[in-house]
Amino acid sequence: MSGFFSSLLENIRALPGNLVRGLRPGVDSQNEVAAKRLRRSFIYHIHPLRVTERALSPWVTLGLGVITATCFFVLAVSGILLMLYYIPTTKSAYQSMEDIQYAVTLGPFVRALHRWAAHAMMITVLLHLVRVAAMGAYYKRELNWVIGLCLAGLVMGLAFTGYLLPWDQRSYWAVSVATAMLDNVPLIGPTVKVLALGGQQIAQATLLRFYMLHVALLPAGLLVLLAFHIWRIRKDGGLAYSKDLPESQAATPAWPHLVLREAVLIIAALVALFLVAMFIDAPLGIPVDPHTPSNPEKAPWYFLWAQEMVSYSAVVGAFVFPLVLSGWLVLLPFLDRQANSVGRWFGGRSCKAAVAMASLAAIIGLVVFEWLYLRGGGADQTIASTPWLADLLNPAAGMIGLALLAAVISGMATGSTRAAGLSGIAVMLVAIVGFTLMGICRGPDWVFYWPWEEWPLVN
Amino acid sequence: MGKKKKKKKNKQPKPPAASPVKEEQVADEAAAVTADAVEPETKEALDAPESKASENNQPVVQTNTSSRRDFLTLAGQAAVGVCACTALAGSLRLALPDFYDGPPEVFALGTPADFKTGTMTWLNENDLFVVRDNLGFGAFSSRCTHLGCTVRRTASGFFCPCHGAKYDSSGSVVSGPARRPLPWFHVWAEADGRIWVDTGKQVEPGTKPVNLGSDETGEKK
Repeated sequence: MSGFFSSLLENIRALPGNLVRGLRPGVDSQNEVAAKRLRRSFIYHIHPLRVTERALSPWVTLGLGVITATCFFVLAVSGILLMLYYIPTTKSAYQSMEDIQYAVTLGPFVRALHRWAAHAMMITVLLHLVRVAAMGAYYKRELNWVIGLCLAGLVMGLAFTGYLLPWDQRSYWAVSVATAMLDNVPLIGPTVKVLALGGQQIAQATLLRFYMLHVALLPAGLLVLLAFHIWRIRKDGGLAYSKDLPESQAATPAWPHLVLREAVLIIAALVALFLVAMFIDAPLGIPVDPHTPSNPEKAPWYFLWAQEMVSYSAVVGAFVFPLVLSGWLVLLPFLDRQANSVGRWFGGRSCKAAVAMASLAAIIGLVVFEWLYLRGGGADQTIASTPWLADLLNPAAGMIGLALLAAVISGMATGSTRAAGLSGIAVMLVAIVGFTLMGICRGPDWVFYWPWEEWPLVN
Repeated sequence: MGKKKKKKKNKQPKPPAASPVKEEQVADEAAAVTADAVEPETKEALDAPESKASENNQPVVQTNTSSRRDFLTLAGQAAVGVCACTALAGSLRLALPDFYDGPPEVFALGTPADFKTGTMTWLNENDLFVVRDNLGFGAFSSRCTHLGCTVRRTASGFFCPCHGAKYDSSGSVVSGPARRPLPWFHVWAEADGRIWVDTGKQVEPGTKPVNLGSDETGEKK
């Protein structure tokens, strides 16, 4: 008895010290260096003790991965806060959005933060992908490249599922169109459509499914893959850099040099997002009318290229182009196994020239295709009356052909598989950017207006 | 076959060495091992499959005594794989609803008096246009055949605000991404005096089979 009380008393007396010791490992260690390492053990799970000088340069990665991860963190926190008020039912969803916007203190701020962080993430994830591809940094890192592509897919999926949740006019029709696009996907399309919608049309089941995907399945998947992605970078030996390039491999301690740079980047990203969210509100559309789309009914900007493409041909825009693009990206590290010039923008000089030529050809090609197509006011009569011909002869299909052609020509001219792979991607990227710009200019009755022009009043 | 087994063997010393203490070094060593040992062999095997492969096969044959362990490992992995696939298939099957609400396929459009001769009425709840002229009644979909948006009436026909498809007044494609005309549906007069439609039964565009005479007769009923 007394033994129990005396030892308890002793433990209570030692509690303050033990609390510190127990919760801060290494605090009473004799070895100061070891103690520091222990305290920073989380950092050292991500970074090795020493990194190369090159890893410290902001111009190698442009910090895109770090910014993307920061956006995800902001989205997770703001998303959890929005979940406190959002109700995923067709009757209450829009009402709860209005509540957040007008009746919750800091509601508009958190909603804006969530919206703008999502948009920022779409941009940075795309730029990150382009950066890694342009540097050939996928070389011998097939697994992490494919994980990265899955992450990009998840980000797009999150953007898409989040789009339906406000249950406003735009979200309803965007999802209506996107799920109708699945009808153009052979074999699995119709089944996937029923899986996504929980039926044949957008209804309560759809909203609940999208909500589940948006707040549970997709973020969980993203979190797991993101951890895997970051871990693989370290396991693959840090930033990719091939031996044929000039040496810049002087080792520097990761702490504090790299960690501080990353911290500055994270803080800068946070400040930027907070400032934008403070001053620009996230728009909330008009309530849904499930029988009348607005004129025009436009997709969010990051899917405008797809909308523009399906406005030429549903099969090409909804199935062929996404298939070619994703197939190209997945196969890239397997078909380009060139070991040299990894970690340098667009490989060597000839590769750079090839990609530049391909991009130029893509811009010219896009203009020519559009001119030919729009000359007939959207479609030539003879072509329009023959469905397969109309699917084959349009700017979207033309750009796919041009991508394949550019890859073959670049590859033959330079003898480099990297030049071929990157040229094809460059053409498709030009197509995506070009179609996005055109999509921005679409106005009522699907007529082009400059962004600064005012649309005429239509019913 | 030989190639595969050799790779496995080379990996075997890895796990015990992968202690967290000297991770960098170990990773380098492991990389060196695989780079030195596997690559030349596989390359050679590819270059000259018969001659070189037989030379390289020798060490494999010597140490290839744990076939039972290999088999059990493979069997275990396969079992886990089958279980995971079954669980995934089951989850997807559960997510695929067996019953769901859809719009009714067969329903009454209304009485003849609801539709005047020479007019076109949009039943927005049903996504249908109902036309009535001297020939009779006809009904066709107001959903664009491209990607399912509701089309709008224009002076010359119909226009889809989502991707710019244009149809003429009978629903045939004029321009834009739509490839099929707006579908027309079977309509008929029921004994209850109402006009009915079956959206599961498509008919030729322009079919107006129900002739109930003029407006006046319709209104008297």
